This record gives sequence, C-alpha cells and structure tokens, in this order.
Amino acid sequence: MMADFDGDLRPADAIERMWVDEIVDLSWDLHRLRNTRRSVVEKELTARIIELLIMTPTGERLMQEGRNTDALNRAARGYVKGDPASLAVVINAIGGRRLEDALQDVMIKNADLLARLETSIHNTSRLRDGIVSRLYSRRDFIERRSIASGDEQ
Amino acid sequence: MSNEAGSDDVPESDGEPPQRSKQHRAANGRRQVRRRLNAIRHGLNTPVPDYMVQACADQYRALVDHVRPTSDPAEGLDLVYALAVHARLRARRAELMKSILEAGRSDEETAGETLRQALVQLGRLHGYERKSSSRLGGLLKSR
Repeated sequence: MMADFDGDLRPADAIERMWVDEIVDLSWDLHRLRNTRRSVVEKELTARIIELLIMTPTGERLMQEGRNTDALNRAARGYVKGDPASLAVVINAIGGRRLEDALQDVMIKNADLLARLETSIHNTSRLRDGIVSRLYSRRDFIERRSIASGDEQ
Repeated sequence: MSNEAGSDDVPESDGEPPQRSKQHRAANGRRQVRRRLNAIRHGLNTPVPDYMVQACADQYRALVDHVRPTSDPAEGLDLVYALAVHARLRARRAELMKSILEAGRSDEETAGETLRQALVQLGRLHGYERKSSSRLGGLLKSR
C-alpha cells in the first residue's frame, strides 16, 4: 500500500512525506474497519445459520457424519464466505426465505454496532480525504508562489 | 411570583449578597465548558510532556530541518509542539484500532461491548484529530 501511495502521490519533501505516511495509515485503518464490519456480520450470521441448520434433517445428517458440530460449522462458514458447495447445502436445508430473515435478524441485532462502524469509516475517510486535499492545496500554493517569484525576476 | 421589593434585583439578606451560581448561564458558555472538561477527561487536551515533544523533534528531524530556514524560532517550536500533539493522537488511534481489530476477531461474548466502547472512543478522537490536522496544515502550508 505504501508503495502504491508513494507511486501515486510522489512525496517531494519531508512535509509531503509526513502527509503521505498519514494517508497510508488512515487507508489501513479504513481497510481494517471495513474488515471488522464484515467479520461482525459473518460471525453472527454463521452462528444463526448453525442454529437453523441443526434443526433440519441435513443438519442431523452432518452431525452424525462428523460426530460433532465441525461439519455444521464448516457448512455455515462456507455459506457465509460464498463457497458454492456450502451454499447449495445450506440453501437446500434451510430455504432462501429463512436465510434472508436470518440476515435481517443479524443486521437488526447489531444495528448499533454497525452504525458506529459506519460512522467511524465515514470519519476516517473524511480525515484521509482532508489530508489529500491539504497535500494538493500546498502544492498549488508552492507552484503559484514560484510562478509569482519568477514573474518578479 | 410577585416581587415585593418592586425591583428586579434579588433581595439581599443580612447585608450579604446571596450565593450566586458560578456556572455559565448561556447555552454557548455551558457548551464551551463541557467541551473543555471533555477534552481534559479524555486526556487529549492536556499539555504534551517535554519528553514527548523532544521525541517528536527527533522523529521529525528532517521535517523540522526542512521548515527551519523559512521560519522564526518561535514558529519552529510551535510546529514541534503541534507535531507532538498530533503524534499523541495518532498513538491513541493506533491503540484503539488494535482493540477494534482484536474485538472484531474474538469469539468471546464480551467482544461486542469492547468493540462498541472502542468505536465510541474513536468517534470522540475524530474531532481532536481533525483540529490537530488542520492546525498542522496551517503551520506547514506555506513552507
């Protein structure tokens, strides 16, 4: 990421170096916050799917085959991650409608947390954009000053 | 209520003026005090210790050297102090991001509450970061 930003923004002096470092830090933070938002939903949805799956014949069969809940966990996690085989197993066992309801339940249950994460993502993004704009406005200022001093000479 | 004294002044008793509230009455004043107290409570608006300022001067040596030829010494000190304040906020953000990441990955039941607390604090930090970034931007814009 550092190399990407260095390549795009090309810091010209120590001041720009500091701003670019900060832009990289905030971009990482954004990435982490988005990952956290995804993992909150995935974790809760996985747990909810296991609860639903365990009550179905497919769930019972998976339990008997694995002699524990590992196979159920794998199927639920696979569904959440979008693995085609797990998607087929879980959708057939639970049904699309109930899965949609489960997702809605998870979103409602975690509404406060997800809203806070959304706000943090928005704030961090604004902070980063503010620094990018500061970087470019300083460049403009220096360019205008050098043109003006060239004109005077 | 009727005013028996027939005046707007509060009646005095025993020749001593009554105890009056020292708090701000206007909403604006109350807001200012609340902000100041919040900033102290969060530990983000207290003076940065000298050792941290010194550490920042060392860390940003290249930047300070870059700025020095075009600024007077007082401005240079201002810049180092602003950098120290900014560094403290960044360190706090890094701590909070660490807690957020850990809580996001954790399967413990308390993880949700830990995550919520860290996000609340990150929200508070945002205002200070914005101000600090703006102050630094102002000090560095023409350098």
